[in-house]
Amino acid sequence: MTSPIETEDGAEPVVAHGGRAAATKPEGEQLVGRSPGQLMWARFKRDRSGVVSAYVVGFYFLIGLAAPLISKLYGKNPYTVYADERPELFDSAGVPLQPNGGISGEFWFGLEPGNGYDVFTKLIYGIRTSLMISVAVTVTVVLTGILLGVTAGYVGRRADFVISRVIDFLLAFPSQLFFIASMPVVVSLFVSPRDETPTYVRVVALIVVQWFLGWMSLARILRGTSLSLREREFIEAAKVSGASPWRIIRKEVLPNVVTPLLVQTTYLLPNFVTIEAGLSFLGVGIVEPTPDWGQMFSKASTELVLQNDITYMFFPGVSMIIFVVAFNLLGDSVRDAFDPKTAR
Amino acid sequence: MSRGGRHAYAAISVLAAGALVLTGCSKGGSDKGNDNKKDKENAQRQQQSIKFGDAAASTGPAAEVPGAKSGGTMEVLQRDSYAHLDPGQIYVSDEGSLATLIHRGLTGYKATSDDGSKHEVVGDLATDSGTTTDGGKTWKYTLKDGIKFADGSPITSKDVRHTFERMFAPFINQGPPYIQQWLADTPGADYRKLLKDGPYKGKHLSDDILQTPDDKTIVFKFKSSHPDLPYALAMAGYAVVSAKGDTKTKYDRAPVTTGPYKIESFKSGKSMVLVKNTNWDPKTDPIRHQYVDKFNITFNQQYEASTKTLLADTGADQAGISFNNQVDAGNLSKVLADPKLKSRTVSGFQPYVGQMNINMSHPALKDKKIRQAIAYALPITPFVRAYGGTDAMEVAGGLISPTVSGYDASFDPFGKKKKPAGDPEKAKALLKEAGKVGMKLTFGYINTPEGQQYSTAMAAGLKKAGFDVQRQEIPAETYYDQVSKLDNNYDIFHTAWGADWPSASTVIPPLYDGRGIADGAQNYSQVNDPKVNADIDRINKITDPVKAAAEWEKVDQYLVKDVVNEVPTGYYKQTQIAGSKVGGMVYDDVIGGVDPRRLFVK
Amino acid sequence: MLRFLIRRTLGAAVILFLLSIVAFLLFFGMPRDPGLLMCGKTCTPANLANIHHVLGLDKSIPEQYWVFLHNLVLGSNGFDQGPCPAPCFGYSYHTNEAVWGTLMDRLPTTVSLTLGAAVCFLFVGLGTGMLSAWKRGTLVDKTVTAGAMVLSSMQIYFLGPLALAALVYQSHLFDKPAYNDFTANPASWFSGLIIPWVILSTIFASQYTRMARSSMIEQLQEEHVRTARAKGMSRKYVFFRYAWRGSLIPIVTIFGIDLGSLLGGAIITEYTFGLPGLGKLAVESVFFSDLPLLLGVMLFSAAMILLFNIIVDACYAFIDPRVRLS
Repeated sequence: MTSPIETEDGAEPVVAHGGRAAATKPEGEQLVGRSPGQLMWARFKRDRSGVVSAYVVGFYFLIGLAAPLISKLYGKNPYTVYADERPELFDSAGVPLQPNGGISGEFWFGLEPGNGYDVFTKLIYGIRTSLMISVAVTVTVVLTGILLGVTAGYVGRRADFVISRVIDFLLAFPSQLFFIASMPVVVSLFVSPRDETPTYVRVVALIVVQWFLGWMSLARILRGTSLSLREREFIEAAKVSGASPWRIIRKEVLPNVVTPLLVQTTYLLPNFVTIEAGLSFLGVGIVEPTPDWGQMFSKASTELVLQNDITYMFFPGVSMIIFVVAFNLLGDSVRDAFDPKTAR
Repeated sequence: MSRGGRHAYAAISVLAAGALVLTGCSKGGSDKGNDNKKDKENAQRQQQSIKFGDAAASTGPAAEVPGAKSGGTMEVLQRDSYAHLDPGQIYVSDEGSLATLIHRGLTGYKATSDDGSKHEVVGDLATDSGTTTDGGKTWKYTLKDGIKFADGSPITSKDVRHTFERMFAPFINQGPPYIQQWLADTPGADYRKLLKDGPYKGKHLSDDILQTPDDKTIVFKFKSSHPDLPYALAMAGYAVVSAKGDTKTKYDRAPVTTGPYKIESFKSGKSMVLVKNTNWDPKTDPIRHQYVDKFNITFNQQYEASTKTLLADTGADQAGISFNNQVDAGNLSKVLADPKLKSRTVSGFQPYVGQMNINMSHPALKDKKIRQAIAYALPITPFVRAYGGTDAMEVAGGLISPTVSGYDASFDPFGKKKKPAGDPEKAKALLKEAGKVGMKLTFGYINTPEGQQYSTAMAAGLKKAGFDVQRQEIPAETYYDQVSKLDNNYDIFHTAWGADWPSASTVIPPLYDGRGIADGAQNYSQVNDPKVNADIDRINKITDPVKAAAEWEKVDQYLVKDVVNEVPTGYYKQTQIAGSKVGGMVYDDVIGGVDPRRLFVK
Repeated sequence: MLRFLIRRTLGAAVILFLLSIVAFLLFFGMPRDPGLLMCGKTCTPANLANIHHVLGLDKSIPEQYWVFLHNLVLGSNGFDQGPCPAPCFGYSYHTNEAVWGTLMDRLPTTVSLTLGAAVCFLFVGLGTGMLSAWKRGTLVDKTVTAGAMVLSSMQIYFLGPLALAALVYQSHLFDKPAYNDFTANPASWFSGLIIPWVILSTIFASQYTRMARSSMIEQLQEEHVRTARAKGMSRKYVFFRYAWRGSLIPIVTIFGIDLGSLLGGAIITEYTFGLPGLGKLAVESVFFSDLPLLLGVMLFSAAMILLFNIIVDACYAFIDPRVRLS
């Protein structure tokens, strides 16, 4: 019961096999001798918004990586309860007394209403947590997608049938509902009775549930791509020349699914970031005091913040919008670079 | 009254909204310090003056509320739908407020002043608050004439017997346990063995426990003396149930009522309509009024929503109120600062006292120095903050609330009122003496937004004193079940407890009697101190409430200062508001909120 | 067509069946005992066992599952709370209400939210998308594209609270979102849902803008469209006669899928605005370990998604005669 639209998803594979690439890409003609990767790179570099987006995205990853270093230089950490350390800055409900959420030379982004954590370090550590989780989900999803998608598409027959049915089944899952219902279950599988549930348990649980319902669209696209590749002449030729299936997959099929893979990946990652944030927002993801993007939204939506300190909301909000916009622009550019036919 | 069991979530999220009390960042803190004193006055005018009324005091009708008018419809905005209507299942405060309108018991609290401060326990269905000749072992009650259920059938001693016998049935599991325990003369849940299936399989309580010699007379016979029975009988949980109309579990949705109002319709989670019960005779009721024609109750009204609606004061909502919703944190400072708005509010203490339990059953915590270190180190400010600041929570000194007689405002052995953020230096010194710097401390916290917030900050405070704090989350709905297990893993965990009637006899014995330690019981800290046990037995026999109150306070101070099995955290407070056409609104100290019985439409 | 519908319906039934198994197993993995919730304060092991018995939790998981399936298909009279006609999901552990009744109770909220928002985002999205395609390359196009890009990157959990803070708490321009029965008071129904509609459709519409624009542009490059242009038909005519129709296919697909998943409960939206719909019900059922409710909501949501998938596929046949349903 695959839907007719499937061929739409299954994006025409851009064949990367020596000179044949040129045949499908008229613009490539005067650049004979360059690999498709080089071609793509050249086109990408010409796309100004793509380059800027790439820098922005890179900046976020840099912040995430360097969060401990930055906070060391800044002299604070996201765990200090400033409401108790510096009670003169707060009222009894934990709202910063200074306007704009207590932004000052000392606390650049202000203080979080409630326990009074430092917003700046909390944000950079939050970005770190969120990106770490999302990258992990993306990697697992990509691996699963390649494995199952290419198997289904290239091997075909029974494998294809089984995998396609599994995909159909999982796509019918109410995914958010499933995330919420399964998070406590997955977390409880790891819990020790005496010690604090370590943060990594929640992180692993988040990765597992998102992976479980995250790989299908990619696998489906890769299935479509490799399905159509299977019928192409160069694969036939490889078969006739006696190449083993493994070799064909490795040398002929995989290089040709790189394009849809890269394009999809750049769309998937920001998607996972927002899903992870959504789960933490609903209270089933990362919880206080571990800094996390989504958990900051959950704080921001409390009445305490809504009524007293809207400023706080803008730090996670704006930073996430910039990140997602940049990543989506980057995704568009990557797609265009690979497949210049697509209209923009 | 624990904030317990499956209602913990509801109770906790009520307070959750408190997390939002915001004294306003730009305004620069709160400006209503003087209100505090008044709250305390309100609360302290309490229990000493409650006496047991005689037949004259128990005769209806109730004294008119000044200026009261009959008629009109009142809109009631409630947050939580009522989970239980069966009296035997009623224990939580919102259902208790409703019960004052629909259910009647043998006794009840009669307001003897118009400000909700003075009360008397009088006979409600009974002709007086009860007579005892042997110091509280045998109690005799006689039913009034002309009392009927809403379906018109008369209320007889058979119904009363049925009411108490069904409290033993397995499906009655949310209500108060006191009288069952007294009848069976056992602590904890063992009383159920006395009448395993309730009255439904032909078995009944024997005559040496409960006698109903004729249609009007009920005699309770206890093995030990229980001078508090008239208080206990006034609980909604012991209101009368119709023997004929008892539909067991279905009774919880459609009870046969007795009060001045009956349920016209109830859509769980949506709405309830109360109309006048024509079979209620004011001449038999010294406590209640029937001014309003109709109460339109709507549920799912969050605190902000109800506050906003009532502040707007338009249309039908001018005659609007909430029995249990508080003014939400966001609007609290605004409302209290505006004299016009403030005149539409009432404020007071709730009966709850928060306390951090130290698990005495864990070997590591047997060292008193360590417990003292915890007491010194524990910051209370996170708790106050999480519930909305000083308007919603007051730092506690002892375990007896300002609403209970015997409360001593000056008691503060660990300097919490002066240093609410804790005293890590002192704590560290004690911990060093005990040679346990860096010891592991498992902190079980309730997994609500507030719980997460205060537990992280408390853990940070304890860490400063040299504890290795391991926070463990506990799901909110089963929180009290988990922490009341004897072999739980938690070294410290927070609970709140409110007196069931304004006497410390419903605080100290259930929480700190070492002989009551059992799975699911409320001696959460598992303290078993011979002196406390002996004191409990001694004070339980004192019949003079004033003297008893003073003695209970001594036990309280001994526990907090010398036993250190728990650290008191806060006294819960609240403010409620109504529309401009609502008359007769008072904060009733016994109910712990607005008194629904006195309301009228102006 | 009929064969197609039958085949797809059967397929959907199989998926729902598998899903119910997964949900069932998931529930038993939950780290809480629903019996404990109902047992109350004076809980003895005997009482707990009794409650487990009443709930049927003392049976083996396959047995319980069988009872569930049986009740679902045939209804049951075995409940304390009353008869339970098919489709019987049983009674909620927490509220003692019939699950099916609760679902139907919450459905109007979700339907109102979804339909209102869908009307908004479909029209706004298509309108701006077409405008943008029509004026391709102009300032209008660039503005629309950039705006859509930013808006589609917004999250409800940011935009929602922000709108609440700005429009409700700070300025008091709008009512706090709430669901009021349409039949009782259409005006308050409207005013209670306006913010959720606007926020939800802001985010969705921008996706439709992007989609409508690109698929329109793609269509304009199709050969039959170019031929029509070459034959001298006006740009307007070609635009609205040919290209428009072709560009609908991907949009209908996405619209159907969006509609299905929204009708199954817009969890974050309902949670953010406190609307008592299916999404909020789902969160509550997880929170209270309420198995019957959880299963009910899960299957209902999945059924919605599947139903709309089938509808979407059936729609192709009408929009594009080339697609044969086989």
